[in-house]
Amino acid sequence: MLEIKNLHASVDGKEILRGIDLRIGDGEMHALMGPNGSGKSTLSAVLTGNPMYEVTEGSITFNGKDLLSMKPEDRAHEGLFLSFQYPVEIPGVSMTNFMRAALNGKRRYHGEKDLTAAEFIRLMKEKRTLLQLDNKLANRSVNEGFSGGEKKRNEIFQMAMLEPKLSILDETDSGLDVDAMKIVADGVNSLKRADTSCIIITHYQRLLEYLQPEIVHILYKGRIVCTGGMELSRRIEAEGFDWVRNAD
Amino acid sequence: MQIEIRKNDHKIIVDDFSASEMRMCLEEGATVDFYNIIDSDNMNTAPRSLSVVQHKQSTFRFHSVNIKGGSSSLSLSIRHEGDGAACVLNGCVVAGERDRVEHNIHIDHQAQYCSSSVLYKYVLSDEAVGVFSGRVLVRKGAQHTISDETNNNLCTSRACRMFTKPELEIYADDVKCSHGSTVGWLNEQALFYMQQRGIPLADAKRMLQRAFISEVLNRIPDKSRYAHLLSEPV
Repeated sequence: MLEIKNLHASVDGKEILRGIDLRIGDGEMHALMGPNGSGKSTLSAVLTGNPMYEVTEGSITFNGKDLLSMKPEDRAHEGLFLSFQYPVEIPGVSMTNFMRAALNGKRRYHGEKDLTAAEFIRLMKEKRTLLQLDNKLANRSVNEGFSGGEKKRNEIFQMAMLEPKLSILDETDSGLDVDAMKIVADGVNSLKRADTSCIIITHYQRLLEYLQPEIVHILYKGRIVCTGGMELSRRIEAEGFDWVRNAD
Repeated sequence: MQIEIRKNDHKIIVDDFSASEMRMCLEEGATVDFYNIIDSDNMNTAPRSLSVVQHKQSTFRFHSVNIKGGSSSLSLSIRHEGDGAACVLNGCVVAGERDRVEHNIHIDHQAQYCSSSVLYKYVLSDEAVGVFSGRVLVRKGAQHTISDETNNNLCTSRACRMFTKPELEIYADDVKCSHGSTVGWLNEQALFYMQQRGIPLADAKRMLQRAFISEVLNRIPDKSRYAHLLSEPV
């Protein structure tokens, strides 16, 4: 699915990622943990092609294609999805128009016809129910006036609509109460298939207990310093990151 | 051209762009919706002017839409002579290439309990030039005036230019007035968010521009006057 080799990236001339190597296979769920400022969000920004970040070295291959040479929208069309840590409010653009433009953008890229209005509405309704979002959502502007929990549920709703191959959940659990976290986790679990993969960026054990990732990585100062199973995340929950810092 | 609107009449006037100088007088209780909708058939780049005198309890609403490109220049002068007069001015401009679109507004509040509300938005690209100058004068006797004036502008290229000057001059001591303007770029975070969802950059820009001007378009009562100018349905 994804292969990252010796990835270096910087923002405003400051190097944040300092040689990341990561391989994610089909159907795998990986957790990415690490103290604040270790480069977790930078990695998701670089993967999705955020123009603020500059890749200075290394390569990323996504299903055999060179990801770094693609425009952000084409990366999305190829099946890459990011659940934003801070979903952006877009006043004046309704969720319906936004979602329809996104879906049809992907369909056109793959040489498919646009969805009819009826097909689109049916799909919206089906996926909305999954995330327990009410039907007023369709007419509201994207994320405008949404509560923190609604914004995060709306991210997973969009993930359900777009059916990506690789989803990155960037601190999707932050700001969620326990009930909302359960809804989000159930949503993510229900979208899991043998050919879809997921990267979960989080600080907390709770979401990982719901999602049960097979592999846990610890990112520190722009490098993956440790890889293991859920025992790693449990150790972080119990002891914090000091042992990672001390080992460095 | 001189137009008189009789007492308590409601008139809808659609600008045919033939006159370079228009004068209008609204008698007591009269209401006017004036549509200044520019399309390729009525393009008139020569400077034009419209002067409006409003008597007691009259309402003047002005709707200017210039979103298909083309230069224009209009000076709009409104004088509130009677108590309780109100005016609402809506302006929406999308200009590109080497267009120059200019709106000069002058509102003279002379009587009590009057109101004015101005909202103009420009979206500029290429080498377009936008000019907005809006002077609201509240005279000594014009107590209890309520006035707001907003001009928001979006520049989408390095070469376009926006000149904006909202002005407020107040000589009465019991009024509620505000004025302001902004000039900015498209929200880059929003653009990236849309691209990440698979919306091509050009479409994302178009959607954000449309969202930006929709606040003005939504204030215009008869959407059929401008709907044909939009690339997507209202």
